[in-house]
Amino acid sequence: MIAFLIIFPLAAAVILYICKSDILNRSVTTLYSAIYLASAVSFTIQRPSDMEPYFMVDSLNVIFILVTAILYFGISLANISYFKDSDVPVKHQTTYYISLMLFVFSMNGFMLSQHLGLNWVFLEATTLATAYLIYFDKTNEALEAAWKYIFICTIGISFAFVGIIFISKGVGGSVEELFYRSLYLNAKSIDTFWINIGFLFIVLGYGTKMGLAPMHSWLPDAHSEAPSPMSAMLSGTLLNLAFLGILRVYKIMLAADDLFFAKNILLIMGFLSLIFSAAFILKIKNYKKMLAYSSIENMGIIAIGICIGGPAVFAAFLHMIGHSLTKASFFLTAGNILHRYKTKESEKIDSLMHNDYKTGTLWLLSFISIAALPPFPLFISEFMIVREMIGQGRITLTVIFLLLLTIILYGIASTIFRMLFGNRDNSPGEHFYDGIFLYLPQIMFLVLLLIMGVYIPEPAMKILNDAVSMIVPK
Amino acid sequence: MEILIIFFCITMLIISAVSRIEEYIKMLAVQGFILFLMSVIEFRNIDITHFVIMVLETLGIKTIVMPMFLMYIVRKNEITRELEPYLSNFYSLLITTAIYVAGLFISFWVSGAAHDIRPLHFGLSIATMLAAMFIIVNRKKVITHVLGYMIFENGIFLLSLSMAGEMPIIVDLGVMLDLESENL
Repeated sequence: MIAFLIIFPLAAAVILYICKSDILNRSVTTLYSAIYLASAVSFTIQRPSDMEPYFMVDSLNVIFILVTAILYFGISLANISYFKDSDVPVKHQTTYYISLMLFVFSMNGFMLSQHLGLNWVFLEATTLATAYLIYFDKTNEALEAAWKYIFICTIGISFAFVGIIFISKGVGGSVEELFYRSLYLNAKSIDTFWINIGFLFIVLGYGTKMGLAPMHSWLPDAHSEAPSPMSAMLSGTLLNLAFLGILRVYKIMLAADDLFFAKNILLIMGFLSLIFSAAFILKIKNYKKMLAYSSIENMGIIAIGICIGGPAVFAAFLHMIGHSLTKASFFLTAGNILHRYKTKESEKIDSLMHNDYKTGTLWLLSFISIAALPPFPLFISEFMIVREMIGQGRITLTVIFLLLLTIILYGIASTIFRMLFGNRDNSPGEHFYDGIFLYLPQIMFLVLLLIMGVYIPEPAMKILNDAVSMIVPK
Repeated sequence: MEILIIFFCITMLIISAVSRIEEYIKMLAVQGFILFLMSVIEFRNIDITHFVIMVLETLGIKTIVMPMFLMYIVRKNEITRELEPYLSNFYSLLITTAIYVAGLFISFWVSGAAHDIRPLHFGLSIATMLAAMFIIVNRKKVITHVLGYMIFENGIFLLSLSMAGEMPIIVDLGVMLDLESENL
């Protein structure tokens, strides 16, 4: 099963390249997303073992696979109508779908691989696969964003490589020793000097990819220039992936009983992310960029949740899932707005509710979710993190945390509400495509969020608890 | 062996002090050649496939292919010199020197702790990476950023030499090639 999941996108990419057919593009990617979703669900019950020891499903990555599968399925649906009334030639559309396939391939490889070096290679592959997607609109801004993305992420990845060299030095330099399983087993015997410095470099590297400050500067541009379904994909899945990479290495630190350093590094980076997004989000005029800053903020919250420990680790996982679904819904809706108004500047848009109540409602609901208001799951996760912070007596930290969140919320809310309300009839007169797939994925994501916010079903709870038990001290 | 790493540092100081891009590229080729010599001395006893790959990487790619390719791009786009870096050449020379002094301190520090590595290589490779980051931050042209990244890669190569037995991965260079073609 794993072999199929990994090979299918590669084969599909070749077929799409040869055929260059519009219908085939859409049907193959949608078909694969459905298969992927079905297998991700089946992984929660039965874990395949066909590609051990290199690729495996374990308690930690199954949750990431599931989130990626749900998002990818929704985004494939959105893709069906994405090119409906655009004048992009089929050749370029095909390249879009091929890049998407390669992107999914490298993400699969990354999530499933159980080897530090292999993991690194696949993360680099995600950068290459997504670069074209960011450059897709072929404007000067898109070129700049894509270049910034490749350059900063490649430097980050090189840092991670240095970290891997350090860790491999610590375990004695052989390739077999870099399997996570053996790293966890031998963690106690690794020299703490190597493991700490290795962790630092890997967190700097993967943190770049995750969008943690101060290495986040590629993220706002890349997420705002990419086509909206791809922004949703980048924000909802790729950031999580880097987080998975960090968790894997964090677990080595846990196994080595050396968490102090790791926790502090993540805590500092988490708070820096909040500070950077609070500082920039108030002045942002581009609503897609604003969403990107919100992603940086949420990655910061997740990193903080992991450092606080205890119930906050559970909260961090919940937050990751909630953020992925919300942000995907948000970016897809932003795509609808862009499609309708042909501008990314929030000041040129108002009366959205009046002119297009469907998009307006989705925009509002996504906002309520990202604002962490009940009944959405982000409320539960942020509440748990704050409660745990207070429980540990970190009052100053809590106050700063809440203050920063409030500033960010104010920044997002003022933009969103300005866009939503008003009575001006400013609907562009020209005809534009309107169809079910512009709304269905967002509705699907929001319904899932509502379910999770009201009541987390037993199987989902078990998956979450299993993942948490992987990275909390016993 | 030690004399080679000193040459390597000298190339870095030259890079930080000059402003002609062709000069950078020449120095990059020199660095590639120094790395080739170092790895030949270092890996005399490894098996033949690894040896061939290593020679191809250091002598072939780092010394010949990449510099020629960069030179071709520079000539094609008629870029000659790095205009107005954020800090003048004099200050960047000072800063690079300071970074290398810090690298020497790192060397002293790790040599005391007996971590089973070559302290001089270790400290100076870290300094090289920092100096490369400084070059990237301090210059405005995209081509200089790419050069800075190449130097960064050389720093990583040097680091892996300091930990005897680690084979540097070639993947990065492939990535690098991609970067170039995408950009220009």
